[in-house]
Amino acid sequence: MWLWVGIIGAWGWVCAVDVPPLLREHKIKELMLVSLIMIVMTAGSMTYIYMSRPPNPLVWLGKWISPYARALYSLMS
Amino acid sequence: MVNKDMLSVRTFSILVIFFTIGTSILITPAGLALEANQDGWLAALLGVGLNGLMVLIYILLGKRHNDKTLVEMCHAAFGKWAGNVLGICFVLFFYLLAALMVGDLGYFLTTQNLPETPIEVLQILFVIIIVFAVRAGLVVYSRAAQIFFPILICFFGLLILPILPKININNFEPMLEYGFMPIVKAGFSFSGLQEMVVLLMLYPYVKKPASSNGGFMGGVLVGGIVLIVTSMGCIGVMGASVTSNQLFPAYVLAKNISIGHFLERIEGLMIFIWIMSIVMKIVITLDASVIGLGQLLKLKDTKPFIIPLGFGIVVLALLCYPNTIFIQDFLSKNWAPFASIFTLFLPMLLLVVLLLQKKKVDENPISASTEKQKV
Repeated sequence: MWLWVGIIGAWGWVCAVDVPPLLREHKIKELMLVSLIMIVMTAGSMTYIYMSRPPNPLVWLGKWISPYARALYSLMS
Repeated sequence: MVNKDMLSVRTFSILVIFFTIGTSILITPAGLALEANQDGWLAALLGVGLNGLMVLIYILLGKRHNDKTLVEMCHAAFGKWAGNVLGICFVLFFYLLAALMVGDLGYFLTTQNLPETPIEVLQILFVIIIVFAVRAGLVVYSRAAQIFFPILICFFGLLILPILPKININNFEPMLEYGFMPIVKAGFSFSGLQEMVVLLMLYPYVKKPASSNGGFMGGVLVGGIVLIVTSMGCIGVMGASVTSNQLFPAYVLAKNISIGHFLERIEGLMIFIWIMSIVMKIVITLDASVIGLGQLLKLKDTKPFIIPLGFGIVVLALLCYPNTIFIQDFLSKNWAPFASIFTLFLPMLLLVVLLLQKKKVDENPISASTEKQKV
């Protein structure tokens, strides 16, 4: 529930503070990028709220880095 | 974007001290005691030495290109495409680091102080403060750091002085019982938690008198001394086995303080020190990511991206932090080797490439200038 408050708050904050100057100055590239980041982050929040086991980027990172980490630590043991 | 030459060397040193203390003051003594047992303090010494060596690389990089941030150095060394790829990797590393610190903050408060409060609420509240600080700019938050610095030192003194009589020298003995290798391993893990490379994103905004490099190194040494003293205090008072079993040993150490059964429960000071330094570290790291993103995408104004990226930090922190056991396991097994790619190997590669480029220009200045003109 609190994350929903956060999502609504973040969209409200961006729309109130950042979007009007960008629209006024016709900075379309920046506007698109801000919208893209907000959409990606909202999708991430939905994933966290609704998935029973949300994906964890650190698990992917761990799988990728662990052979190198084990090799490095084996030099120190 | 900020204007150039905004920070004095002294202010930059204070930011470096906050950055060094950051997350480390609360969690590193456990890792050190787990790997090196009673020699954990020696490992902290070695870790500070390793950090000093890394900072030497950063200083050399900063000297070569003192008007460029890390992302711009990547462009200068590897050209547009490879430089962009490397710059994106650095920016993603900074962003992940900021998210993990917000996760640390949330888990510390929900496990130790505010168990009934939802973690999302705490993380959102802290990120709002962080977003305000980054939007206010480098000058504003560095001045805040200047104001908080004497308070940090006073509180640290208040914490350390009362535990001195409680330190039991026997807890440090026997020295080097398991040899040097556990100390090296623990020292390496310790240095992996200091991610000083982030500060290279702010280095071009420091005024550059001769003492600016000393300011960087001095900050690392002062912060390192704080961490060494904290680790020694934890091991000396609680012993290596108790220290290694705690999630936040420095907080447990602060709980032990009792002066004449009159002055007690001053662990709040420890929370204050930790929150102050970790918030400052997150602010610097988020600012570095925003500056990096702006330079990668050639944006004139990066301010509109701070709120979306701050929002993303909360989301990433929630996704990355399923529980404290997972994160302890990840930090002890994978973080230091992962961080070493960005804090040690890539900066070294950058330095070598930039040195070779300079050598080439020195040997053949005419062809180099024609090549430049063609570009």
